[in-house]
Amino acid sequence: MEFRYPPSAEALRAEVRAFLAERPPDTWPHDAMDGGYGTGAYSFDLLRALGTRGWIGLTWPRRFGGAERPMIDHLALMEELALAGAPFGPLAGSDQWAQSLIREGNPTLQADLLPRIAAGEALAWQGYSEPDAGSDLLALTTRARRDGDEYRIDGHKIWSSEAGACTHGMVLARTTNAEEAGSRAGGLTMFVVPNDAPGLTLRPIVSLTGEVYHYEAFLDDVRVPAWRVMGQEDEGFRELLKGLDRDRFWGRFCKPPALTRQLSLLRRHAAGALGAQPALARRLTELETEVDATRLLFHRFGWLLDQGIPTPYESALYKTMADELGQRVANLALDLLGSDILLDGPAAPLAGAMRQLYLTSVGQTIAGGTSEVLRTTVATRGLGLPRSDTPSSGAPRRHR
Amino acid sequence: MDFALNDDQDQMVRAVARWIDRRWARADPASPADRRACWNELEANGWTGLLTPSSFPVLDAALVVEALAHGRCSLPVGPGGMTAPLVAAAAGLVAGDRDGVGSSYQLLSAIEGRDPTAAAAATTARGLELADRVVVLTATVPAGAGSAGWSLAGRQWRAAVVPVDPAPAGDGRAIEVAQDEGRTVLSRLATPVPAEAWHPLDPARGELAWLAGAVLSAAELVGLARAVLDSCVDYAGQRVQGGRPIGGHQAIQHRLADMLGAVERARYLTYAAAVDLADAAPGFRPGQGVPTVHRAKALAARDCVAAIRSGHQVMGAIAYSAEHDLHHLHKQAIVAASEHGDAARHWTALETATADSP
Repeated sequence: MEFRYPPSAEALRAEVRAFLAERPPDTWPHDAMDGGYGTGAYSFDLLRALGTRGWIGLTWPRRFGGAERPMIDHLALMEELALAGAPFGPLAGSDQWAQSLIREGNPTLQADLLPRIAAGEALAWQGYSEPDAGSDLLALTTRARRDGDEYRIDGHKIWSSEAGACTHGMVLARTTNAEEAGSRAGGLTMFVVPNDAPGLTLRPIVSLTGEVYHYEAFLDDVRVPAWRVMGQEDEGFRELLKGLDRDRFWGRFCKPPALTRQLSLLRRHAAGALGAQPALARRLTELETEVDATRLLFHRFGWLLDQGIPTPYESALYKTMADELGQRVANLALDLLGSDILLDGPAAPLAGAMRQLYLTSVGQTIAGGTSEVLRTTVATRGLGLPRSDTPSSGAPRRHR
Repeated sequence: MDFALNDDQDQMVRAVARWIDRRWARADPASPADRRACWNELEANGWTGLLTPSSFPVLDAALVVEALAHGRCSLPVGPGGMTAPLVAAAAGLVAGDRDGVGSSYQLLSAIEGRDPTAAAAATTARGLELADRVVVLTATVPAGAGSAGWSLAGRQWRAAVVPVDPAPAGDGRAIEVAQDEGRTVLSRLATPVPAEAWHPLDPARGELAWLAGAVLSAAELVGLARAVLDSCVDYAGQRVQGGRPIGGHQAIQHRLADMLGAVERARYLTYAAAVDLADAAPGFRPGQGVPTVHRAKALAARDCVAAIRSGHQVMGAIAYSAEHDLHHLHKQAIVAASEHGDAARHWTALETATADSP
């Protein structure tokens, strides 16, 4: 076992530090709020600067304009940005979208979008959830029907993160009835819909932080050409599942280093008070250790993905652990700062970082799979326990 | 980064699992003769002598300890059995690296207080009844030293080898102070270590040995918690109530998912601690500390014991009975959690290091 970065990744870490020293993280303008997942706010200036350095396409194949660097270099890049508190929110989404385009996209889509993604000029939101299709995504009712060389989409999506700041939406719609498709998972197609498509309306949803993170998307006879189908018609959900582990991995990989930074800020801010509050000091020490250990689990998860080893439960387990750990860090911040944690503006302690951490942490055990659903996933897919709706079971599965 | 075992480690872990199936699963854990015979087989396989002053593969040792604990082996291999010959050799109490390895030592590690003899007399260990000789390791704080926090820095390390006389009244006789269904849970020396038996120990070597014991006790906790999780998963899949396996109820599923998370987190942090400690060994400076070791032991002591305790709830009344072996694993975990620093001690060590850092 080896838990250190290899020399190539260490060299990249040094480059990232030098880049951020030249232009410190807090000097980049923000275009959209920090969702609290560890990747900071959206700053398209920073995204373009990362693109200029070839860091968006760091691991892509060369034929798509990438540098074909190993995954470990990508981990080092993301971790270093998170540790510094850089607003690199769109970067994780860029890469996830590009990877799905490389995996499933047709040549026209790839040629249209990959160069713009690599330059930091294009970014996609996810149009999956609907008002009556949350944890039960397959209950979605958005429909698309073929009309010549086009598809016409009608439906209603919700909880689409940063949709208003992006350029395109990845919209999942039913193209064939579940009965005809043979299952609810069949008959669904993924479309790449430009944000300026006629008939698409985005409504911002103001979050409890006072800022906009989520959007509601209304699709009213939105027409998209057939080449904007991602992957195969009727196979959209299965293709989505193929990339789900990687999406969930990157969705939370930066959380432990971001929490390391938050704990470091708290430790410095409360240094004088901790001596008189040994119980809080102990909680801080314990949380630092838990963050350290959770970081290791994400590195192991990345290693498993890179090795092509199946990860039946890791994304569900580690996401839940990271998000609940984040909530405990936020609770410590509340206990250290008291009601001052709610202050915004110049009077806010730590420039409002703990306000953001505390308030956004509320949503993180809901977004991307609730902790309750994911614990059930861990039990059934990881431990081989019977599903709650089945009366009997086979032999329990042995976890690794 | 690489999370795979190398070929040698993989074969070693498989060999331990085979030994568990072939030998330990058929042994009587309450029979001193059988325990001793099993101990001799472990020594013959070289698993108790992995750590020496010139060879310090802490991860290999941790993997063996974890695999034995996962196989429900209650022999005191880890913190005591593996570090005792290391300390004895480092203190010059046996000749060479390998002398003594194979002759059944146990370590009694007494790290609190200012008087080595008083510290040793007050300290408990496991498996003294299996040992020919007990190695006593102390790291006392010099008189006049400050008392803020807790660290290994500035300590005076001493070691002694005490022969275990089986005669009831003999000096150095090991006495059992806690027994459980014929199994020794804890033991301690009956009489003080004679003053002339103490030998000074190089602080770097003493500290490395003690930290290795902390890693190995964490590995033992991980192995025990994995064993309990396996039992719980099997039980939850088989135990039918209300017409369905209890493992189909979300309340049980979610408890087991949390146990898996706790065990995995402690497991990989323990591996990282083992690697960090082995990396730190060449040129180790006394008092330099290895934070990952403190973190791993504290987390394993806190979370693995909690996971094991949670196992009682999953398995219900049967696991409250002495007929089920969970209570043995639980008690073994409590002892492992306290050896080579309990969770509170290691959290304090981290806090002291943070306070002392510039």
